[in-house]
Amino acid sequence: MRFVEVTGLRKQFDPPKGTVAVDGLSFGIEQGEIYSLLGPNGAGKTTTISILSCLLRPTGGDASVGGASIIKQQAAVKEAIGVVPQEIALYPDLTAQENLAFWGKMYGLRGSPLDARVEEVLDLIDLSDRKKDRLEDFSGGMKRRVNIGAALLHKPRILFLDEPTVGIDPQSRRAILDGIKDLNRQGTTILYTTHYMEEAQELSDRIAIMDHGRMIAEGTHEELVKSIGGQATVELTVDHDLDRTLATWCAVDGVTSALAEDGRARLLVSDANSAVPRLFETATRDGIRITGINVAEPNLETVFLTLTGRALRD
Amino acid sequence: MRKVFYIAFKDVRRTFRDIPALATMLAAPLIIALVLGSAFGGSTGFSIAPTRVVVVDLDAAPAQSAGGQIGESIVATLTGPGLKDVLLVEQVVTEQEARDRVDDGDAAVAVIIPAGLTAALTQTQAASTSIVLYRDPTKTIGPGIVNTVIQRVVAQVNGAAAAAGTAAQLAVATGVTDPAVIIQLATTASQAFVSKAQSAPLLTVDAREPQVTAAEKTKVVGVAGPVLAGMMVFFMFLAASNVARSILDEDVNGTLPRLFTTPTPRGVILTGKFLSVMLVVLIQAVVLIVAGRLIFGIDWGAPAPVGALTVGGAAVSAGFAVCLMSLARTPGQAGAIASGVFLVMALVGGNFVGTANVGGIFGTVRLFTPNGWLLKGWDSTLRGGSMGDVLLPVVVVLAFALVTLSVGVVLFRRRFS
Repeated sequence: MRFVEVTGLRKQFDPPKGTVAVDGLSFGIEQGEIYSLLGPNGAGKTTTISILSCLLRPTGGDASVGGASIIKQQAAVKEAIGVVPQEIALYPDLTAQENLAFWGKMYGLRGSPLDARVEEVLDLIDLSDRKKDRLEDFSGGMKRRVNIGAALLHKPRILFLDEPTVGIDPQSRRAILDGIKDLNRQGTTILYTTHYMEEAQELSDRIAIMDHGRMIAEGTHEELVKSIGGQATVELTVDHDLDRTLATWCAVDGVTSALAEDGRARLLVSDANSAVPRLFETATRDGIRITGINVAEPNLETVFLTLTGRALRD
Repeated sequence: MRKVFYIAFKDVRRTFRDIPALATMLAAPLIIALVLGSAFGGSTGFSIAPTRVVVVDLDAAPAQSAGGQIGESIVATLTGPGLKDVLLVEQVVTEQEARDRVDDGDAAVAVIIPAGLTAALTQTQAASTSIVLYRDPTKTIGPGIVNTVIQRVVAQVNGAAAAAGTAAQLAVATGVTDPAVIIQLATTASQAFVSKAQSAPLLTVDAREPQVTAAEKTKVVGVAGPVLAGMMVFFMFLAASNVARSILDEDVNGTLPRLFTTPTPRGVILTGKFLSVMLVVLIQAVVLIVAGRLIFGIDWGAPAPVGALTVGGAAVSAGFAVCLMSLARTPGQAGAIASGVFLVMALVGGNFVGTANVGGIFGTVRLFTPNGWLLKGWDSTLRGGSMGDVLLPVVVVLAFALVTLSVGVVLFRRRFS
């Protein structure tokens, strides 16, 4: 039995006509793996985490964490999980040490074991020298680290991280990603949600791509890329009417799809080496001047684009 | 169970690190009490600063009528020992000087005793005349006291004159024709009037204050005590709403949902939040009571009734605050609701009029609020009341607390289920 088992999970807000945020989601997470939910904003990732954290009651389906049902055995589920919410959920007028001590108490720690664990976590998140400072004096990256630290105090068996790197500088993001890998190496199972393809690609053993509350693909990075036939992405900038240009290029042999994004043409092609010359040929014939070009090997972005017809960050 | 206290203490700590909240909770009621207490002279008794009075006695009539020169009598009354704490009297020579002193703000009122006052009143055919009070229009209390004193003297003079006139008429009516005899009879009558009025009046005024039932004697209650009691009750409700609003703030900020992901039962979390409201208000009340004692010398009363009122006040303000917060959707909405409701309760309950006994419809209406009952209780303890005197107010406010807290608990549990 997998450590996390999700079966037909469904969540509708304000039924019967309200939004269906999660629609029949099923997946499993093996113990010790890093499993990512990748999808754009509004895909249902946070709602899924909220359900698995026992914050929201599902409208349908069930899930278990470590063998305990999220509906019938919530206390056992909460003992096993650590949740890092998307927003900084800490007390700004308390110090880092006070924040961690409080959250440790909420997980049942107290006395000298709590004090020792707080020091350990402060060390882990590299904020021991700032433990007496109030959180309101911290940078965004530092707050994020404390946000993660608060979920580690009770040594959870699985850590839920809901887009933990949103809005922080690259250096802090790097530190967080490295920290997550360290935790996983020490045996913690990770459920990670993100809309950054690079993060999912770097961290995950397996990735589930979500859109509109449903899982549209699942597998390792290699499996997902292979599933769309290894199509490359070609991005072109032109000094012409983009919509007319896209219509022209759609008809070019080897082009699977074409769409406009941020003023550029974004094409999926089966073989970049043969498709690119044909694109230039067509442009020359029609008097279209290409001012920039970028070719990217197949990636998760491509997978999402292929499956949904939209970019991951739409 | 420990977690209830961890959550409560966390909120208490956060509240006492919030400087603006502390200012509202502690500084504001003390400052208001200080201002009002200073204006009315402090903790014991109602006292005002002595009023500066200038007197010009232009009366130079020879001593012929009752009590000697009437002008001298008025001056003697104003400068007498009975008024020395209330009036600072200075005599000047001319009427213009007296008026100038008032115009310049050096005196609150000038008493101008007209020339020939005694002569005019002691003639056989007495002529009507007036003592002029030239007063600063911006001052009311001091000139009012002078006016009252002068009116008493005037009433005595008028009474003596009426007695003299009546005696003269009676003498003539009974056939007395000798003017010397008539004058003697009139003089005797007026002297007798004055003597009897001063030594053995038939009708007097006995001013008393209500006694608390279990007290042996009524304490003298100053202004600061009732004022601070009123402010303390009002600001306890405000402080409670501030702390209770943290439930909504934490919901918005994400710490409350995060708490719900921990293996801490929701009932424990909410109980901890409610307990924090009560603890903060309790601490606030204790600080204000101690500060009232140290700064204003307020004698709040016996420990038992004071303790009961403090706990009752904390419970009811916490209950109301939790109830109101449970009705609000957002922290902003909560702030507006709480401010409005508690202000109305304070106005109706009498927080801003002190704890003086209030009768009539207002005295009844205020008892529809917990504020009115709390102030009734504080009024008793300030006057020396015992536990028995505050038992009913405490029971009533605890009933208010139970009802409002129950409503709040039910609504919050439903919201966060």
